[in-house]
Amino acid sequence: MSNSAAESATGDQVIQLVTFRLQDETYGINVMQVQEVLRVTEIAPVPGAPPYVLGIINLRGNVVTVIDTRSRFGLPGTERDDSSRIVIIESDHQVVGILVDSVAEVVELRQSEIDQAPSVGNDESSRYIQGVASRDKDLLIVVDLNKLLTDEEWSEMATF
Amino acid sequence: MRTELSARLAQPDAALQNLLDALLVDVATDAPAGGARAPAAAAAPTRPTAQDPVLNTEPAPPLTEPGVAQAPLPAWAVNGFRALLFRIGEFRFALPLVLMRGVAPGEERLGKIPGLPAWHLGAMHSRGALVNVADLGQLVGIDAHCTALRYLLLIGDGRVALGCDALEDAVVVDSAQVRWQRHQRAGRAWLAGLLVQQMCLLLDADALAQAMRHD
Repeated sequence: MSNSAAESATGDQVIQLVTFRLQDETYGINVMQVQEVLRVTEIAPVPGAPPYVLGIINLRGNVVTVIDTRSRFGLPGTERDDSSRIVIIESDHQVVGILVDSVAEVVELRQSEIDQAPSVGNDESSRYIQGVASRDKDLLIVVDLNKLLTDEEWSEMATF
Repeated sequence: MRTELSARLAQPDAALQNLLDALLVDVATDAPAGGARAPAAAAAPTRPTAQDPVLNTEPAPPLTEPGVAQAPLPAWAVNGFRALLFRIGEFRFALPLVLMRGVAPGEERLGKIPGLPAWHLGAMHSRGALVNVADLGQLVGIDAHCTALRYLLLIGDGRVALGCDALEDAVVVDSAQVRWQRHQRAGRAWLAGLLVQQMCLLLDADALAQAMRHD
Protein backbone atom coordinates (compact mmCIF):
# COMPACT_ATOMS: atom_id res chain seq x y z
CA MET A 1 0.00 0.00 0.00
CA SER A 2 1.40 3.43 -0.90
CA ASN A 3 1.91 6.13 1.69
CA SER A 4 -1.01 8.13 0.45
CA ALA A 5 -3.24 5.07 0.50
CA ALA A 6 -2.12 4.28 4.02
CA GLU A 7 -2.74 7.86 5.00
CA SER A 8 -6.23 7.98 3.59
CA ALA A 9 -7.10 4.66 5.20
CA THR A 10 -6.03 5.68 8.67
CA GLY A 11 -6.09 9.46 8.56
CA ASP A 12 -2.59 9.32 9.92
CA GLN A 13 -0.31 11.43 7.78
CA VAL A 14 3.06 9.92 6.84
CA ILE A 15 5.94 12.36 6.65
CA GLN A 16 9.48 11.91 5.45
CA LEU A 17 12.31 13.37 7.44
CA VAL A 18 15.96 13.88 6.68
CA THR A 19 17.83 13.01 9.83
CA PHE A 20 21.08 14.51 11.00
CA ARG A 21 23.25 14.32 14.08
CA LEU A 22 24.28 17.05 16.46
CA GLN A 23 26.30 16.10 19.52
CA ASP A 24 24.73 12.83 20.68
CA GLU A 25 21.23 13.35 19.37
CA THR A 26 19.41 12.69 16.11
CA TYR A 27 17.23 15.38 14.60
CA GLY A 28 14.77 15.25 11.75
CA ILE A 29 13.62 17.90 9.30
CA ASN A 30 10.92 17.72 6.67
CA VAL A 31 12.43 16.31 3.48
CA MET A 32 10.31 18.69 1.43
CA GLN A 33 12.27 21.60 2.84
CA VAL A 34 15.68 20.12 2.06
CA GLN A 35 17.14 21.24 -1.24
CA GLU A 36 20.50 19.55 -1.05
CA VAL A 37 23.25 18.40 1.24
CA LEU A 38 26.79 19.72 0.78
CA ARG A 39 30.18 18.80 2.05
CA VAL A 40 31.61 21.64 4.06
CA THR A 41 33.76 23.92 2.00
CA GLU A 42 34.90 27.39 2.82
CA ILE A 43 32.45 29.36 4.92
CA ALA A 44 33.33 33.03 4.73
CA PRO A 45 32.70 34.81 8.02
CA VAL A 46 30.69 38.01 7.88
CA PRO A 47 31.71 40.91 10.12
CA GLY A 48 28.90 42.05 12.36
CA ALA A 49 26.81 38.96 11.76
CA PRO A 50 24.64 37.64 14.59
CA PRO A 51 26.25 34.89 16.68
CA TYR A 52 24.06 32.19 15.13
CA VAL A 53 25.44 32.98 11.66
CA LEU A 54 28.63 31.14 10.76
CA GLY A 55 29.08 32.95 7.51
CA ILE A 56 28.21 32.66 3.85
CA ILE A 57 28.94 30.23 1.04
CA ASN A 58 28.79 30.56 -2.69
CA LEU A 59 26.32 28.03 -4.03
CA ARG A 60 26.51 28.07 -7.79
CA GLY A 61 26.67 31.82 -7.87
CA ASN A 62 24.12 32.38 -5.11
CA VAL A 63 25.12 33.58 -1.67
CA VAL A 64 23.67 31.36 1.04
CA THR A 65 23.91 32.17 4.74
CA VAL A 66 24.98 29.28 6.97
CA ILE A 67 23.50 28.97 10.46
CA ASP A 68 25.54 27.58 13.32
CA THR A 69 23.03 24.94 14.35
CA ARG A 70 24.98 23.81 17.40
CA SER A 71 25.04 27.36 18.71
CA ARG A 72 21.36 27.77 17.93
CA PHE A 73 20.53 24.64 19.91
CA GLY A 74 22.69 25.69 22.84
CA LEU A 75 25.27 22.98 22.19
CA PRO A 76 29.02 23.42 22.50
CA GLY A 77 30.95 24.02 19.33
CA THR A 78 33.11 21.36 17.73
CA GLU A 79 35.70 21.01 15.01
CA ARG A 80 34.33 20.30 11.56
CA ASP A 81 35.39 16.96 10.10
CA ASP A 82 34.70 14.74 7.11
CA SER A 83 31.24 13.96 8.39
CA SER A 84 30.18 17.59 8.71
CA ARG A 85 27.58 18.73 6.23
CA ILE A 86 25.74 21.87 5.24
CA VAL A 87 22.09 21.12 4.63
CA ILE A 88 20.53 23.64 2.30
CA ILE A 89 16.97 24.18 3.37
CA GLU A 90 14.11 26.36 2.26
CA SER A 91 12.02 27.77 5.04
CA ASP A 92 8.93 29.92 4.74
CA HIS A 93 11.27 32.85 4.63
CA GLN A 94 14.37 32.08 2.59
CA VAL A 95 17.01 29.58 1.58
CA VAL A 96 19.72 29.04 4.18
CA GLY A 97 22.27 26.43 5.10
CA ILE A 98 22.48 24.70 8.45
CA LEU A 99 25.75 23.16 9.58
CA VAL A 100 25.31 19.72 11.14
CA ASP A 101 27.71 17.08 12.45
CA SER A 102 26.52 14.51 9.91
CA VAL A 103 23.53 13.56 7.82
CA ALA A 104 22.13 10.12 8.48
CA GLU A 105 19.18 9.00 6.37
CA VAL A 106 15.64 9.66 5.27
CA VAL A 107 13.01 8.12 7.50
CA GLU A 108 9.26 7.86 7.32
CA LEU A 109 7.16 8.61 10.34
CA ARG A 110 3.48 8.63 10.95
CA GLN A 111 2.25 11.85 12.50
CA SER A 112 0.85 9.81 15.38
CA GLU A 113 4.35 8.58 16.19
CA ILE A 114 5.48 12.09 17.04
CA ASP A 115 4.94 13.10 20.64
CA GLN A 116 4.43 16.71 21.44
CA ALA A 117 7.66 18.23 22.62
CA PRO A 118 7.84 19.27 26.24
CA SER A 119 7.08 22.96 26.35
CA VAL A 120 8.48 23.72 29.72
CA GLY A 121 10.32 26.72 30.97
CA ASN A 122 10.95 29.36 28.38
CA ASP A 123 8.83 28.35 25.39
CA GLU A 124 10.83 30.67 23.18
CA SER A 125 14.00 28.68 23.65
CA SER A 126 12.56 25.45 22.27
CA ARG A 127 9.87 26.73 19.95
CA TYR A 128 11.60 25.10 16.98
CA ILE A 129 11.20 21.61 18.47
CA GLN A 130 8.10 20.26 16.78
CA GLY A 131 8.03 16.95 18.60
CA VAL A 132 9.87 13.81 19.58
CA ALA A 133 9.59 10.30 18.17
CA SER A 134 11.13 6.99 19.16
CA ARG A 135 13.52 5.51 16.62
CA ASP A 136 15.69 2.45 17.19
CA LYS A 137 15.53 2.93 20.96
CA ASP A 138 16.75 6.50 20.56
CA LEU A 139 14.85 9.72 20.36
CA LEU A 140 14.37 11.46 17.05
CA ILE A 141 13.85 15.16 17.66
CA VAL A 142 11.69 16.69 14.95
CA VAL A 143 12.63 20.28 14.13
CA ASP A 144 10.30 22.89 12.68
CA LEU A 145 12.68 24.76 10.41
CA ASN A 146 10.31 27.68 10.01
CA LYS A 147 10.70 28.39 13.70
CA LEU A 148 14.44 27.93 13.83
CA LEU A 149 14.73 31.70 13.91
CA THR A 150 12.31 34.37 14.99
CA ASP A 151 10.67 36.58 12.38
CA GLU A 152 13.04 39.33 13.37
CA GLU A 153 16.03 37.05 12.96
CA TRP A 154 14.83 35.82 9.57
CA SER A 155 14.57 39.45 8.51
CA GLU A 156 18.06 40.08 9.76
CA MET A 157 19.32 37.07 7.80
CA ALA A 158 17.82 38.49 4.63
CA THR A 159 20.21 41.39 4.82
CA PHE A 160 23.21 39.17 4.06
CA MET B 1 18.21 -1.24 58.30
CA ARG B 2 16.88 0.13 61.58
CA THR B 3 20.36 0.03 63.09
CA GLU B 4 21.76 1.95 60.16
CA LEU B 5 18.94 4.40 60.37
CA SER B 6 19.48 4.94 64.07
CA ALA B 7 23.13 5.51 63.47
CA ARG B 8 22.36 8.08 60.85
CA LEU B 9 19.86 9.78 63.09
CA ALA B 10 22.29 9.81 65.96
CA GLN B 11 24.78 11.64 63.81
CA PRO B 12 22.71 13.65 61.38
CA ASP B 13 24.47 14.78 58.31
CA ALA B 14 25.22 18.46 58.56
CA ALA B 15 24.28 19.15 54.96
CA LEU B 16 20.94 17.40 55.34
CA GLN B 17 20.25 19.27 58.53
CA ASN B 18 21.02 22.57 56.84
CA LEU B 19 18.69 21.71 54.01
CA LEU B 20 15.89 20.70 56.32
CA ASP B 21 16.37 23.78 58.45
CA ALA B 22 16.26 26.04 55.46
CA LEU B 23 13.20 24.42 53.94
CA LEU B 24 11.15 23.87 57.03
CA VAL B 25 11.80 27.01 58.97
CA ASP B 26 8.24 28.20 58.49
CA VAL B 27 6.82 24.85 59.53
CA ALA B 28 8.92 24.77 62.63
CA THR B 29 7.80 28.20 63.70
CA ASP B 30 4.15 27.31 63.22
CA ALA B 31 4.29 23.87 64.77
CA PRO B 32 3.00 23.44 68.31
CA ALA B 33 5.56 23.26 71.07
CA GLY B 34 7.04 19.84 71.43
CA GLY B 35 7.79 19.10 67.81
CA ALA B 36 5.57 17.00 65.61
CA ARG B 37 1.87 17.64 65.41
CA ALA B 38 -0.40 15.70 67.67
CA PRO B 39 -2.05 12.75 65.95
CA ALA B 40 -5.49 14.28 66.25
CA ALA B 41 -4.37 17.43 64.52
CA ALA B 42 -2.49 15.62 61.80
CA ALA B 43 -5.38 13.28 61.08
CA ALA B 44 -7.97 16.02 60.92
CA PRO B 45 -11.19 14.89 59.26
CA THR B 46 -11.69 16.06 55.72
CA ARG B 47 -15.33 16.94 56.45
CA PRO B 48 -15.45 20.16 58.54
CA THR B 49 -17.16 20.05 61.91
CA ALA B 50 -18.93 22.77 63.84
CA GLN B 51 -15.71 23.37 65.74
CA ASP B 52 -13.67 23.55 62.62
CA PRO B 53 -12.03 26.97 62.29
CA VAL B 54 -13.01 26.96 58.63
CA LEU B 55 -16.65 27.34 59.64
CA ASN B 56 -16.00 29.88 62.34
CA THR B 57 -17.90 33.09 61.61
CA GLU B 58 -15.37 35.08 63.56
CA PRO B 59 -12.85 36.95 61.43
CA ALA B 60 -10.01 34.66 60.53
CA PRO B 61 -6.77 35.28 62.34
CA PRO B 62 -4.23 37.08 60.23
CA LEU B 63 -1.75 34.96 58.39
CA THR B 64 1.79 35.03 59.60
CA GLU B 65 2.84 36.46 56.28
CA PRO B 66 0.95 37.91 53.36
CA GLY B 67 0.28 35.40 50.63
CA VAL B 68 0.67 32.36 52.86
CA ALA B 69 -2.37 30.08 52.77
CA GLN B 70 -3.23 27.22 55.10
CA ALA B 71 -3.56 23.96 53.19
CA PRO B 72 -5.56 21.00 54.49
CA LEU B 73 -3.96 17.63 55.12
CA PRO B 74 -3.86 15.71 51.82
CA ALA B 75 -6.70 13.21 51.55
CA TRP B 76 -4.26 10.38 50.87
CA ALA B 77 -2.52 11.03 54.17
CA VAL B 78 -5.45 11.13 56.54
CA ASN B 79 -5.18 7.47 57.56
CA GLY B 80 -1.47 7.10 57.07
CA PHE B 81 0.29 6.18 53.87
CA ARG B 82 3.15 4.24 52.34
CA ALA B 83 6.16 6.15 51.15
CA LEU B 84 9.13 5.27 48.99
CA LEU B 85 12.47 6.42 50.35
CA PHE B 86 15.15 7.20 47.82
CA ARG B 87 18.37 9.11 47.47
CA ILE B 88 19.39 11.96 45.24
CA GLY B 89 23.02 12.81 45.74
CA GLU B 90 23.67 12.79 49.46
CA PHE B 91 20.07 13.46 50.44
CA ARG B 92 17.21 11.14 51.21
CA PHE B 93 13.70 11.98 50.07
CA ALA B 94 10.30 10.32 50.22
CA LEU B 95 7.39 10.14 47.82
CA PRO B 96 3.93 8.87 48.75
CA LEU B 97 3.49 5.62 46.84
CA VAL B 98 -0.14 6.44 46.18
CA LEU B 99 0.96 9.38 44.05
CA MET B 100 3.51 7.43 42.04
CA ARG B 101 2.96 5.74 38.69
CA GLY B 102 5.94 3.42 38.84
CA VAL B 103 9.69 3.08 38.82
CA ALA B 104 11.70 2.62 35.64
CA PRO B 105 15.37 1.76 35.33
CA GLY B 106 17.52 4.72 34.46
CA GLU B 107 19.85 2.65 32.35
CA GLU B 108 18.63 3.83 28.99
CA ARG B 109 20.26 6.90 27.59
CA LEU B 110 18.12 9.99 27.87
CA GLY B 111 17.64 12.11 24.79
CA LYS B 112 18.60 15.71 25.43
CA ILE B 113 16.19 18.11 23.81
CA PRO B 114 17.70 21.52 23.17
CA GLY B 115 16.22 24.69 24.55
CA LEU B 116 14.69 23.16 27.66
CA PRO B 117 15.42 24.27 31.23
CA ALA B 118 18.43 22.94 33.09
CA TRP B 119 16.23 20.69 35.24
CA HIS B 120 15.20 18.71 32.17
CA LEU B 121 17.67 15.81 32.23
CA GLY B 122 16.26 14.39 29.04
CA ALA B 123 13.46 12.28 27.67
CA MET B 124 12.93 8.63 26.89
CA HIS B 125 10.16 6.33 25.77
CA SER B 126 8.84 4.06 28.47
CA ARG B 127 5.75 1.88 28.21
CA GLY B 128 4.77 3.60 25.00
CA ALA B 129 4.90 7.10 26.37
CA LEU B 130 7.45 9.87 26.19
CA VAL B 131 8.74 10.47 29.70
CA ASN B 132 10.44 13.72 30.63
CA VAL B 133 12.96 13.31 33.41
CA ALA B 134 13.74 16.06 35.89
CA ASP B 135 16.61 16.77 38.21
CA LEU B 136 14.81 17.56 41.45
CA GLY B 137 17.48 19.96 42.67
CA GLN B 138 17.38 22.05 39.52
CA LEU B 139 13.61 21.91 39.37
CA VAL B 140 12.93 23.24 42.83
CA GLY B 141 16.15 25.08 43.54
CA ILE B 142 17.79 22.96 46.20
CA ASP B 143 21.27 21.52 46.37
CA ALA B 144 20.39 17.90 45.58
CA HIS B 145 21.46 16.62 42.20
CA CYS B 146 21.51 13.19 40.60
CA THR B 147 24.95 11.70 40.24
CA ALA B 148 24.16 8.17 39.11
CA LEU B 149 20.59 8.37 37.76
CA ARG B 150 19.86 4.71 38.35
CA TYR B 151 16.08 5.00 38.60
CA LEU B 152 13.28 7.12 37.24
CA LEU B 153 10.37 7.73 39.59
CA LEU B 154 7.28 8.13 37.44
CA ILE B 155 4.77 10.59 38.81
CA GLY B 156 1.78 12.59 37.61
CA ASP B 157 0.29 10.98 34.52
CA GLY B 158 3.36 8.77 34.11
CA ARG B 159 4.89 11.03 31.49
CA VAL B 160 7.13 12.85 33.93
CA ALA B 161 9.72 11.40 36.26
CA LEU B 162 12.25 12.36 38.86
CA GLY B 163 15.73 10.99 38.45
CA CYS B 164 17.19 9.36 41.53
CA ASP B 165 20.45 7.67 42.43
CA ALA B 166 19.23 4.88 44.71
CA LEU B 167 16.08 3.37 46.13
CA GLU B 168 16.16 2.70 49.85
CA ASP B 169 12.95 1.34 51.28
CA ALA B 170 9.18 1.51 51.29
CA VAL B 171 7.82 2.44 54.68
CA VAL B 172 4.43 2.87 56.30
CA VAL B 173 4.07 6.38 57.63
CA ASP B 174 1.74 7.53 60.36
CA SER B 175 0.52 10.99 59.41
CA ALA B 176 1.18 12.09 62.96
CA GLN B 177 4.85 11.45 62.32
CA VAL B 178 4.95 14.02 59.56
CA ARG B 179 5.64 17.67 60.04
CA TRP B 180 3.35 18.90 57.34
CA GLN B 181 4.15 21.89 55.25
CA ARG B 182 0.72 23.34 55.84
CA HIS B 183 1.60 26.86 54.80
CA GLN B 184 1.99 26.46 51.09
CA ARG B 185 4.25 29.22 49.92
CA ALA B 186 4.54 30.17 46.33
CA GLY B 187 7.33 28.18 44.76
CA ARG B 188 7.38 25.54 47.47
CA ALA B 189 4.28 23.58 46.66
CA TRP B 190 6.53 20.60 45.95
CA LEU B 191 7.28 20.18 49.64
CA ALA B 192 4.62 18.18 51.47
CA GLY B 193 6.47 18.00 54.76
CA LEU B 194 9.14 16.22 56.76
CA LEU B 195 9.12 12.57 57.79
CA VAL B 196 10.24 12.89 61.37
CA GLN B 197 11.38 9.32 61.90
CA GLN B 198 13.23 9.07 58.62
CA MET B 199 14.51 12.65 58.76
CA CYS B 200 13.82 13.35 55.14
CA LEU B 201 11.68 15.58 53.02
CA LEU B 202 8.34 14.28 51.83
CA LEU B 203 7.70 15.46 48.30
CA ASP B 204 4.34 16.38 46.84
CA ALA B 205 4.44 14.32 43.66
CA ASP B 206 1.44 16.02 42.09
CA ALA B 207 2.89 19.47 42.62
CA LEU B 208 6.19 18.37 41.14
CA ALA B 209 4.45 16.85 38.14
CA GLN B 210 2.51 20.03 37.69
CA ALA B 211 5.72 22.03 37.70
CA MET B 212 7.06 19.78 34.96
CA ARG B 213 3.93 19.61 32.88
CA HIS B 214 4.36 20.00 29.21
CA ASP B 215 0.87 20.75 28.05
